[in-house]
Amino acid sequence: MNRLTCALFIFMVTAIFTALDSKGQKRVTLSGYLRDASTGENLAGALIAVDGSSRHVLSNDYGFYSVTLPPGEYYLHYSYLGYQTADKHLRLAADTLVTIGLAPSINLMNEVVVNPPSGGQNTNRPVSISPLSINSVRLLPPLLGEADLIRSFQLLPGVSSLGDGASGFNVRGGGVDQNLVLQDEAPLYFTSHLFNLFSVANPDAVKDANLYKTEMPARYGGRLSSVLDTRLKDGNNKEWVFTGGLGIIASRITAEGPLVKDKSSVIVSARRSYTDLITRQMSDPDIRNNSVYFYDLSAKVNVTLSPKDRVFLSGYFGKDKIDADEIFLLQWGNGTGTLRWNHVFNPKLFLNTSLIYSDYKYRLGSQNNPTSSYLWYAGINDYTLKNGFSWYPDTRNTIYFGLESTIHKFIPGRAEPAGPESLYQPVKMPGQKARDNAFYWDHELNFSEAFAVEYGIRYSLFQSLADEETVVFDYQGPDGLRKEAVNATVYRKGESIRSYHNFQPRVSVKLYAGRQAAFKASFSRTTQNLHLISNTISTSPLDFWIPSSYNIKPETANQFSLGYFRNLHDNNYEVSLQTYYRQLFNQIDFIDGAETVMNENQLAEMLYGKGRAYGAEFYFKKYAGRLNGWLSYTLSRSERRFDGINNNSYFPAKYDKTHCLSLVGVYQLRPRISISGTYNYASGTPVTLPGDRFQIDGYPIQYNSGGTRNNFRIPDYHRLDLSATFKGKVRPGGRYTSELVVSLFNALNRRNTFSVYLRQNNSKPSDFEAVRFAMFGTVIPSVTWNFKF
Amino acid sequence: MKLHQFLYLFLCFCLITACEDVVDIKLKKGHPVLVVDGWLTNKRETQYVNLYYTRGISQSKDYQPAGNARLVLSDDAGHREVLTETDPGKYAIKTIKGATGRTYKLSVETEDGTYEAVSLMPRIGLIPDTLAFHYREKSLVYPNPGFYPLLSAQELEGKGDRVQIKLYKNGIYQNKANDLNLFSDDHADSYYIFNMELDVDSPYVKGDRIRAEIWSLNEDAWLFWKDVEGQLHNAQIFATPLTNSRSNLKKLTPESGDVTGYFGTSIVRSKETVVK
Repeated sequence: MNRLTCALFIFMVTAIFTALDSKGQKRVTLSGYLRDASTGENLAGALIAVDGSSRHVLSNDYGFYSVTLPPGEYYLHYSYLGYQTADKHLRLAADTLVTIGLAPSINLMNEVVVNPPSGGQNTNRPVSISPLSINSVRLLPPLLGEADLIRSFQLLPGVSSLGDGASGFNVRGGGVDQNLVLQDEAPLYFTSHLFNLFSVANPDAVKDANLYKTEMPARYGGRLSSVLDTRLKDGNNKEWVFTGGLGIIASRITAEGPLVKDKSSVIVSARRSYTDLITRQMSDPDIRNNSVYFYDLSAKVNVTLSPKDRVFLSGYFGKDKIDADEIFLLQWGNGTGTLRWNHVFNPKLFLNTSLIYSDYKYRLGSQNNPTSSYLWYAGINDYTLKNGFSWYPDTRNTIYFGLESTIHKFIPGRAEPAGPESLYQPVKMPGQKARDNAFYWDHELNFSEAFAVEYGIRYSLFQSLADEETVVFDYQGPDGLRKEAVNATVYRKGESIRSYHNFQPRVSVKLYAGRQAAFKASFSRTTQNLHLISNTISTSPLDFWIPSSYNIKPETANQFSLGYFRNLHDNNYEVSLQTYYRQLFNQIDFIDGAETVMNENQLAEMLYGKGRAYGAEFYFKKYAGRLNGWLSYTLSRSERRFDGINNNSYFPAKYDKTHCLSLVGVYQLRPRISISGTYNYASGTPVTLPGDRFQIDGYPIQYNSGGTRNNFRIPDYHRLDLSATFKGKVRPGGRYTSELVVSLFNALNRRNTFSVYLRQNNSKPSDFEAVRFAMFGTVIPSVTWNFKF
Repeated sequence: MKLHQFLYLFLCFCLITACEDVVDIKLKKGHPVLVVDGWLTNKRETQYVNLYYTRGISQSKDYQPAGNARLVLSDDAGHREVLTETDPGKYAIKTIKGATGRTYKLSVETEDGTYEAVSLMPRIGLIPDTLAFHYREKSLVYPNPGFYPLLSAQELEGKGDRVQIKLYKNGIYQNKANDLNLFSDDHADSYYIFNMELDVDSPYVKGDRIRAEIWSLNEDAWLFWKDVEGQLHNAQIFATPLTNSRSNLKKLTPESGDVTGYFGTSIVRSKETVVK
């Protein structure tokens, strides 16, 4: 790694000098913002091309762009997916500020907003990103009435989930904790409501979302497998708009509008589910009074102080609660707050500074028996300061660099008696604190029309700190059994227990063959210092996060990827094939039989090993016409190897799916009626099932004589979702629009197996029977009425 | 309530359309492994150690007994007995009796190898006082209406007491998955436990004669039963990977074949009453 880092450093310095070399010629800079003409929203990742040359730039996350050219006459071409393009003829003699508004593309015949890319734009854009414009998400079959962003990403190659109801998603063979999910730069630790029935992002408040899985731009770090960067809308700064939907399970409303026209705006979104419909279906009278619900609220205000300064303040709060009074209480929630300042130093240098707070808490209580009632809670708080620069020395180079610092505070688990009669003895897992600092440098070089390189480096320094007086141990013993704690060392409050340095280089090379095709090769190294402790099939709210520390080293991953991308038939179709190979190090697992909840011996029962994941992703997309959609197919394998598990040989990871196929189709039946369907097929995931049995005291006991792990594949998964959207008539010049969405989740009424296990046969108690467990056993219909005015 | 029970209830509650059904799957059997199933107590009746081999999970034939083995039981008070094979694979303990605090060693010699289990006879830390019942109607927590047992007992001072509570209905041992009752004094040391409800698979009716036996467990035996409990109560989407239950049988030579099962030692106290 040291040699690679040195080489990159030298390359970096050379590149900077090349970039800065002015060749003695005077240059002027054209800069400004790209905005949505009707709402004022910034457009991130929009393309600004200088006609007749290979020179082009992309607007940054805040819509800012900068193009440096010799003085002269130019035709500039501004475009963005989902919007009409704009052309500008300019005579540049000095630094010029031009802010452009792009009109959203609305075609009365066909409201598919995913425009065919023009002029090879598609392959010019970093193809690692799989952006999903929020409008096309709405045309997908909404689950339970809502267009679910995270669920929609699962329809793309390389992204899958463990099954219906399992929270989180898996990218390229990595665990659900290996995805960095950001909402306006704030990290989210639990990304779904009610076991993945609803994602945590309110679709009306989300502006765009990008999923990075091939290249990991150096400005992102902290997780191994992917980054899902969600940006919330800033709020319409031209007029007040109300959007919302009423559904049978949940409803939502968003209000956005200007505080000062064109200068500042606010957006507030809220969502809530109602339990009536769920609990009323239970035949048991005891349940009718109980509640299962979630809600979320997000608010954002932004003020443009001057042409060079803009300030944003946003907050999000979401909570899930399952309250069966007298029996139990389960509650979890994310809360985040972001204060951000955009500053333009000069036409070539842009800064974004953010102060971010994130709070994730969950609690569990059991109160039906006063003598054993308890309340258990855990959480994690993050405080982050980020400084990110966008530097545009000239049209061939775009550089992002910056510094980030985060303090993490962990409450891994604390249990207390819930009432005066409770005999429960309080248990407290030791609190932990960590400081996470990172510096990044991300450089995009466009050498020519045919060749572009992006390289970056992220350096992270992670320190585990003693939040209170802490005792640490070394653990010794054979792998596979609980180890013995030896060599106690005491750290006083505030002392640094361990520091971990990690260099994470990232490189990606793009070769364009004409305007229609491109090849891409990339390498990235990522590090993860926060680990989700879970020993169960699906992550549950009871899993918790712990930092790298005295005993736990950072997880690291190397990814090699090759891809071929091609536009066909006048850019109406896109085809791509990507392959990857990933190596994962310092992965965490547990010895057989380990208890992960409130276990004081947790560290003695951990095992450290490695993993590998490899696969091929095929993607085909049709853009134009009345029928459009895509097909994605992934062939992959994800394996792990630990001393002490599966006889020390590779075994498939619990989310390993050999084949994953998604077929999405949207058809514009009439000008105001569209229908869509999604079909998913996936191979079964593995579970561990025994081959033998014996009995003790008459109790049948399962026995795995080979000691294998994940030796059995559950049946394959198929699911079809259908939906139809009926748009209400819009009066010409009228502001009010509405639509009715009728959808069927699991239209084939298929019981997809989530897991298979053995249980005692009730009629023959000395025998076992195999049981298949399915999360959704029927079709789930939903009707939602969406409105906007 | 126990964590697995909580998770199970939580799932039932939330997932109205979730469902389970029995499926027919073929599981490959592995190689037969020797099982030692024996328990020494202070009860007056003859105790046995069973020796047999594991069988394939889908097979319905009986277990194959391991006959003609040499089993020797000894304790640290100088007693020693060679067990008598009364039936193929069934070895009786005729002379040695269980006594608190003694460490017992069972050595097994078969054609596959030589093995040994060591077990300390733990004191009984939960002294039963009364056995009562209460009637419960059908509800989310009680799927069947009927009488559910309540045990009152004195927990002796001193942490580390663990017990298994076994129930007999009209003389028949109740051993379905939901009948397994394990108790530890972790959160209740030296308390008087009043009306602790025991888990049963099916509740009782008036007139049932119920006997509750409290069996003391040392830490390793406790963990063994916890392993079994984890297997019997699968937590579905929160299930942990299947693990073999631990065994206190150890191979004495590396060439010996694999062995599993458990040789336990417990002091037993009981209380019997009739449901009124």
